Amino acid sequence: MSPVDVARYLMRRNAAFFVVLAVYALAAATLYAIGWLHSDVIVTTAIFFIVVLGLDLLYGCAGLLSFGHVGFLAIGAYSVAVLHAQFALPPLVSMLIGLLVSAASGYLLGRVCLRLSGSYFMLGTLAFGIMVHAAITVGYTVTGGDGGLGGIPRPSLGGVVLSSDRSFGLMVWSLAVVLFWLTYSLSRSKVGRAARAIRSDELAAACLGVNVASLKMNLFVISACFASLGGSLFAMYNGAVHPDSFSLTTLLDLLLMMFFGGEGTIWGALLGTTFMRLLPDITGALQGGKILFSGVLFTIIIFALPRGIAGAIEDLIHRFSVRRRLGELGPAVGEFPFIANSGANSGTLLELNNVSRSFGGVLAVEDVSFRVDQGLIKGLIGPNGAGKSTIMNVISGVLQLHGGQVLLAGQPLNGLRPDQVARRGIQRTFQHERLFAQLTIIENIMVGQERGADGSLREIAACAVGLPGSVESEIAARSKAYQWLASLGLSRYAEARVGEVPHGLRKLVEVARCCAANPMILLLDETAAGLNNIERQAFKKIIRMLRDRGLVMVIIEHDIDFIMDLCDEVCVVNFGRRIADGPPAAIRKDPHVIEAYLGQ
Amino acid sequence: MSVSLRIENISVSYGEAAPVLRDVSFELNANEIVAILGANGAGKSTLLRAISGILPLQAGRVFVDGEDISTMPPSRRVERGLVHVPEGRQMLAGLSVHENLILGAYVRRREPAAALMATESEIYDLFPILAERRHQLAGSLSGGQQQMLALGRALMSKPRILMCDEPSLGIAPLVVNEIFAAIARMRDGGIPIMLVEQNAKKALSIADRAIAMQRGQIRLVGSARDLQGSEALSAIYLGN
Amino acid sequence: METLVQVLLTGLSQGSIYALVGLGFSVAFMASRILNLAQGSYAVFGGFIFLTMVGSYRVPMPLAFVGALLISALLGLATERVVNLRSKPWKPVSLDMAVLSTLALLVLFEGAMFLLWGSDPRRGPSLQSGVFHLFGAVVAWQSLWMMVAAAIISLGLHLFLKKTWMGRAMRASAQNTMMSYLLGINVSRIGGIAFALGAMIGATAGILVSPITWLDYQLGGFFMLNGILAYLIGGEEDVAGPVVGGLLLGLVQNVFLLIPGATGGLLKQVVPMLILILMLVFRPQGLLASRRA
Repeated sequence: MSPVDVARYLMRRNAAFFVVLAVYALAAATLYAIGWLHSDVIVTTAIFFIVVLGLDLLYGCAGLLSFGHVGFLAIGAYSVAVLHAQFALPPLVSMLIGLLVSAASGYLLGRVCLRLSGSYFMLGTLAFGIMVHAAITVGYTVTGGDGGLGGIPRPSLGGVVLSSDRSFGLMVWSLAVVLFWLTYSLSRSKVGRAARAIRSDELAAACLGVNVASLKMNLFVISACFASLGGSLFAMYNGAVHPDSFSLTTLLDLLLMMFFGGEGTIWGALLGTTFMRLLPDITGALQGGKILFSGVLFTIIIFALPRGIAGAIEDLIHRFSVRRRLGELGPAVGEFPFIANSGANSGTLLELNNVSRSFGGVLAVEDVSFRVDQGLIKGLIGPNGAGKSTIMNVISGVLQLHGGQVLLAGQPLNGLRPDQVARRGIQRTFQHERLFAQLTIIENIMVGQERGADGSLREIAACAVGLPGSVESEIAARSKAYQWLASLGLSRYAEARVGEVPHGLRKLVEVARCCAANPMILLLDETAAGLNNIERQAFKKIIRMLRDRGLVMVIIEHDIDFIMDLCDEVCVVNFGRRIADGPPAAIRKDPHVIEAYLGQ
Repeated sequence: MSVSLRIENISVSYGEAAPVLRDVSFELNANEIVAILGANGAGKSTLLRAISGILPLQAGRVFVDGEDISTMPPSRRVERGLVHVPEGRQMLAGLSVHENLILGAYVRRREPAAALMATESEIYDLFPILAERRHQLAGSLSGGQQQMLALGRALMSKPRILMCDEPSLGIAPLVVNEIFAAIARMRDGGIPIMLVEQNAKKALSIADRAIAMQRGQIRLVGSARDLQGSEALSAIYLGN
Repeated sequence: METLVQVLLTGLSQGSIYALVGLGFSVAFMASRILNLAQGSYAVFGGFIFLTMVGSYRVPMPLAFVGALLISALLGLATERVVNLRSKPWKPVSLDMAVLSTLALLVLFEGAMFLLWGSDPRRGPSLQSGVFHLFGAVVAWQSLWMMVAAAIISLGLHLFLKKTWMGRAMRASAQNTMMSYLLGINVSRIGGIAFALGAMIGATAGILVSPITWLDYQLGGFFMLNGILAYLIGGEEDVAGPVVGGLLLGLVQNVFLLIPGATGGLLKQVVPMLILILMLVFRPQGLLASRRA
């Protein structure tokens, strides 16, 4: 693919970047010319824009609400101030050092907090922010404490000191534009999709191959670096730092910028930042009421406009461009673009040997063994609470087994994370549909297509910059995903949001999402639940087609007719133990099975 | 025969999904156990949740003793004597057996303490094993003991209608017998009971009538005796 | 020796304040399972109302005390309403949104306080002025009152939660909200009462501490943090947790003041945060291991 094609694709995908910047430039230039906008507002907008970009990447994409980023802001600012005061280091050098310190502390903080749940994550990050603030206040001999620290010079580039607003502003805006491109590009790329998948449903994301822990950590560190950069620039611009600039109020201002602008949109950060920088002028009359105004605004945004202004605009565009059809037309199954991952020869592909798993001392699954051979569809049935879902969870790595082994093509799967299991070739659906609400339908399938994301810095860099390799695979993934939708007769839902698609069709999309990952084995956990008759027939057709193409499947269903119709072999479990295993006709007549279902 | 509970054409769905319950109607009379049977996903638990008010109705109405309770919040329904024992025991795990029982009598909190204590002793008579453990944390009881506690807790409020969701789930067979015997005794004591169960044989052994559900609709209705061992019932679970 | 006693008593009295704020957190957490970031504001608001009533309007102290408590209760109730605006039994409010709402309210309260009382720190009246001597240390009577109040309120709360129907209902809805609905508990009303109660306890802390620590509109954040710390260190035990956590926090902070010079001050501020981070790493359930299954 030629560089020109790559560039053209990127331009189209990142169109919002150009539009937003153009509009902003125009508006700013006009307002500046008529004297309504002052140069310091323009400069500080860029500085905070950089910080909020990082925050939006972390929360808007990955769903991590950190209350501690003022800490990184402070680290960046005080690195410049202190290193100049103590060692007369040039500001740009100190900025880099501050960046390193923030990255390191971000890494440590991430290690501690990312494994904590919701409230505790917020608290841990909040504690960090306060710690940094306290350290500044108390280390006053070095940091100037409550009096602040001044005397920070403007940086010099190539011998020229950027002392005017214009020259400094140019540097800051150049940096902001570059970071805007990188961040926006990232959010629209494979990494962005993986991050939003994590935000929507962490477990499903992992089972599709996303390395959740790694991606979260890297995004956390990156957003910390953004904040640090912003802090350093802030210090350079003002010439002085003061602990009050890094307090709870600042945190709230930043959050307000992100939420007002529109969390998740990335470009909303510019909107929000501009608004907040202009706010003192707007609320000039309400001098004393500025804080109250912020609070009221925040509350209103959270309840009335949770996606912010940019989000509302995107919603409007979506409503006009993606024409919505009624969902009464069912799926029409055509040829499935599935290629079997023939990693194994004929023979046993999946083997469970004496698998056990307990919960709090109670054995949910006890000594269960079964085999699934190549070219077969295996049913797994049993009364409620028999342990079927637990078995699925053990196979897919969601739960660790306490005894026995699971072998895939002869290789043991013990101790692997769900995303590792996914990469080995096992895909699964869930009892309750788990499409990624933050992504469109086609993006959902692309996540499967792209084998999740390994969450590495290398991948992040490639996607942010838009290297030809990553662009090519994205284009291929999108086209393949479209083929999958077309084969289900659902192509018109491609750009639809998950909530706009009827429930039954969503479940079929979930199946397509898994198949797009070209697995060796597909585990279907009560996928037919909630499907109407038409959808059920489509589902059966899909399964048969997949079997013919060589995909091995294990199906859990409660609709016995369904199972008997489709499966070649059926394994029955009750009270965590296997009580029967064989062809459907035999199972139906097996007295143990009858007893299990109807009672004794 | 007085009708204690009447469900009229109720439909329930989760969000925009296909309806989980579709146009369901039936009646529960005094002094009877009606078993609600069917495979998983048939809508049995959803039915109970819609009646007790923790799920909203898309359509239809619910009547208790002739009064329309369809729009009442769950707490008011409990005050009317409609008690739901949900599946999974749902213990107040950090509280003791005694405290769980006391909370079962929440709707009777204005009655004198002596009356509540008397009811508590009745529960201990019904389930002696709970008496031995009255100060033990509910979270540390075995599954069967928790189920007994859940039932005892429901009885503390002197319910006028009782709905039990899968009391035998995850419980050893011997204990299941004890629990079902207790449920039968409750019916004999005058409480009409709706019993959702997967273990059809067990449920039919103490029920008077039964309904079987499939995909959100009622497919079979009849006396327990008629349904016990019938082909039609087997078909609902195991297909044709 | 006197210094030790001094530090001990100061630590305990400060700790009592933290304990009270922490108790407020605990009560609200019980009702809603979220951390109410606006909890600190009730302390400051309550303190401001109290000192305004007594100072500007010459209201007798007991009456002013009650008045301040009532207004704080209303603020707490308003917080709960705002947080649970859109929630239903089958659709509880999302964690992010809930916490963000409390954050928004924290700012709102801060702004209101700034408008009403300006930026100058104010000092409230003592319940009992003057000092007494104990083992050579000088102790303000107010400090003693702080400890007494904390003791009385903790005991009262404990009895309330254990012996009254409303208290039991609160504990039930903390353990299992769905089941609480099915027991006939009006969960949303209990929630409102819990928040109101938590706010009143917080206000008491503010009223008691106002003669010693000058109150200003930004102090809400400070109380919030220390209260959270007390609650987390102590663990999820409803009453004992925040009390133990608060007292420990107060003692630790003041013990470091024994170290002369700047180091002591630095440690006093930073160590509590380090303790919090360590707890989050090694023992998120707090010092008093939770009995909750």
